[in-house]
Amino acid sequence: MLARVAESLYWTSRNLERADNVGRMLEMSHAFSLDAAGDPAGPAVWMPVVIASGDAKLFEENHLRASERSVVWFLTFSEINDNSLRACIDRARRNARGVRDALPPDVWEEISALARGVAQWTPRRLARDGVFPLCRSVRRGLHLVEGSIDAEMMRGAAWHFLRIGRFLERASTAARMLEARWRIAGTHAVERHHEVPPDEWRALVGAAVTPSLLMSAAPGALTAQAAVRLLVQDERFPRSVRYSLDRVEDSLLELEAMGACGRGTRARDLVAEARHRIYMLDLLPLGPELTDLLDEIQERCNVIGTDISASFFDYPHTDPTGNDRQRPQAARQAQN
Amino acid sequence: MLFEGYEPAGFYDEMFSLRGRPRAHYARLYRGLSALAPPPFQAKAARIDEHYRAQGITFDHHGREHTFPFDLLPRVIPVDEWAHLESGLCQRVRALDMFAADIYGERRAITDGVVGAGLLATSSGYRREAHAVRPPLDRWIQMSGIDLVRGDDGVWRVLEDNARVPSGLSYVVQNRAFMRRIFSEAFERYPIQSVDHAPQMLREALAACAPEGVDDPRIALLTPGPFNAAYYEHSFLAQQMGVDLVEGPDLIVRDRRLWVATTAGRRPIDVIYRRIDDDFLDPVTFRSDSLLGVPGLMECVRAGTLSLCNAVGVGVVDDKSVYCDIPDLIRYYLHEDPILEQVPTYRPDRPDDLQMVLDRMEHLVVKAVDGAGGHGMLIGPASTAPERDEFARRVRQNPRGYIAQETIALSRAPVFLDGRFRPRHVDLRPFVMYGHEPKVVPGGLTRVALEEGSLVVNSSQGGGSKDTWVLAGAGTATGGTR
Repeated sequence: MLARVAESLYWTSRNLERADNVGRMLEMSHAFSLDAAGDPAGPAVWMPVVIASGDAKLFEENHLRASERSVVWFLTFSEINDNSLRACIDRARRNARGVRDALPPDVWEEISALARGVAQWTPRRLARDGVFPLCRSVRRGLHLVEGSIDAEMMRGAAWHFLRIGRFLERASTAARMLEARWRIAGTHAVERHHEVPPDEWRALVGAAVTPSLLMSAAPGALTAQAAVRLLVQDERFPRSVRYSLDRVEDSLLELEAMGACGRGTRARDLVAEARHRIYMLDLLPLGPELTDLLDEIQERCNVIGTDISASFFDYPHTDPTGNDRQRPQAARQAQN
Repeated sequence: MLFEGYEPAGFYDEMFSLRGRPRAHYARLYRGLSALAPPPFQAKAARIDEHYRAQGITFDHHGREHTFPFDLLPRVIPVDEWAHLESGLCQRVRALDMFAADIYGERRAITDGVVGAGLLATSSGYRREAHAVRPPLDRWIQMSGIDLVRGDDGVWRVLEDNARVPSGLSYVVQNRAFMRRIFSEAFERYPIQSVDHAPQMLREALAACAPEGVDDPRIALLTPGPFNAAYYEHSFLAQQMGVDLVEGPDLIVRDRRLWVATTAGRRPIDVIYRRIDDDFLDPVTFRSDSLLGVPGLMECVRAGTLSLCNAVGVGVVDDKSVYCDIPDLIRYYLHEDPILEQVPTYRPDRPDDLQMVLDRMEHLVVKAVDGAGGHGMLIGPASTAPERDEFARRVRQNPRGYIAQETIALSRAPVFLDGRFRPRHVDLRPFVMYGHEPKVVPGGLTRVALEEGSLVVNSSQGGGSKDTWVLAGAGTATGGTR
């Protein structure tokens, strides 16, 4: 598989996953803000969302306060935010367009349809309909993309690079979101001896966990601990850090087996180390150790990402100015 | 209802011999369509644009993605008519290919006076760098698109040869796929030759021209990238042929071989189907500012480790001033009479022709010899006096840079516009693949000028297309004239 193609696939799915996370976070926060409507603590719903998104600094430079309106706009359509829902989806489409020959037509069509669907949202419509229908349609679109990827694609190198991008992003984001929420709500929860009222632990773990899911994973224990364990350590929950790293590892192994691996990649060892670390961790008691661990997971994901780029995507990259110079030349090539 | 008010008179009509009298090969389609009310047909037509957009089957025009308008009523060609065209096209491409080999070899055609000695000095498609090259099979033109038109006498004529990077093959395949999805009723009891294998035909031609000794060549399609108008086609063809779609930065030359960067390191490439102009292919040999090509590419070609398709320098063959000489070249190389007619053409660099061209400009089509895509062209009957003055000035200044042709009253076919069928001018671009033997994809791309009265069918100027059916059996193939 061409190095450039592999890289584009990897970034296509990282961006889609990023959009997915933004959407899920907004959807959940929206539900909380409704619950918290009469509560003086209501507005506190929105700042954690910005912090969890990882772009708090940019947000504070551009907005006076974190309200539903400002945060939703910032995370969905704001042009100053490179990680807005729309920016992620547009970037995914652009990446996919450059390698559409490596994707089954259905996959490309779903990505394209998702991007067109999001582009049709105007500020007016967002203000009128609220964020819920937007997030829901994005999530459905993403399910169609993922579904067609899994239903249509050969389990060859292309599929594995998509999968590595998706799950590495997911592992890293799961850790970041949990950390952000934990910093705000966690101490509070610990003080209460890990007994968290249902709504509060939901705030803690964000959109990924529903009560029924938690109940089935840890019967009878609606505690912060059970929720954190599920999100970090569970090997069957598809949005946990552990599960995600397992998938990255599987795919790296498969790529090695099919001879699609560059020499000297350390990615698989790095993933195995990170996984082992998580596996061994004792989550009792929940305290500052948790934020340290979550920090460490994010750092390890970064290192894994850097190694993957260096060992798999080794070709001369054109810098953005090169791209600008290349564009007019590419456009003028006669196609009679 | 759909054909209400349709007036075929005035030009050769592809579907009707007289008003309400369809030609035999269209009879079944006509009966089916006549029974249809406009609304259901309109609904079908509306789905097309949606389909094209959903699949991103677009071309880039001034930085925006456009769809290529598609008309649901196919263009039908009877089998006997096609047999004639097919043999004529193969003959023509054989001669074009031999001419390229000759120009970059012994130049017998020049020595023997078949073409003027001035050609090499004046042709913008000529590349002296190609002299050191003997491509495998001595094949220069693996893929060409020959534009055909039909005048009001019903005779098919060659309008233009495209031997460099002809585009449109992807639309031939996709148009058929859409027809099947959206208008499957139309196919009932029509025996039609398939076009689905067209990308495979191209692949076979490319593989046949692999460097000597390479049995299972690694083939790649070299594209200028997503900013190019035809990027969709590049990616479609690469996918359908099962070859890598590569851009300049993916490639590197080491030890006089071309390599592609894969996730597992470098792998050699044997054949490149390029969709980049000669000048941009190799910054060492040609334009040094090219960001699209690969430094050292030509070195691989000269060393015989890489086949470049079509070969560098074939632009000399489709130079419009050579067009006039092609019937002679066919006789010269093949000792055969040309099967296909062509459009009467004048060369202003011949003094007699110059005066005649200037005098009759409002009746002629004037074209730049190296122009393409409908640009740099004057259509006399549709021109204004100032436009003609401007072209007269240009022609006087650079007579070698232009040719003039009799205006062909292009045939028309019904096109569905605003709720009913209206006659619009069409042409036909068949594609010829040439590996060991020339082979023509059945039919080709029928292009449609959507504007009333317009003769310009190019997609960059608002043209559309139709699916083109070549009938398989002789049963329905009557009534066609040629």
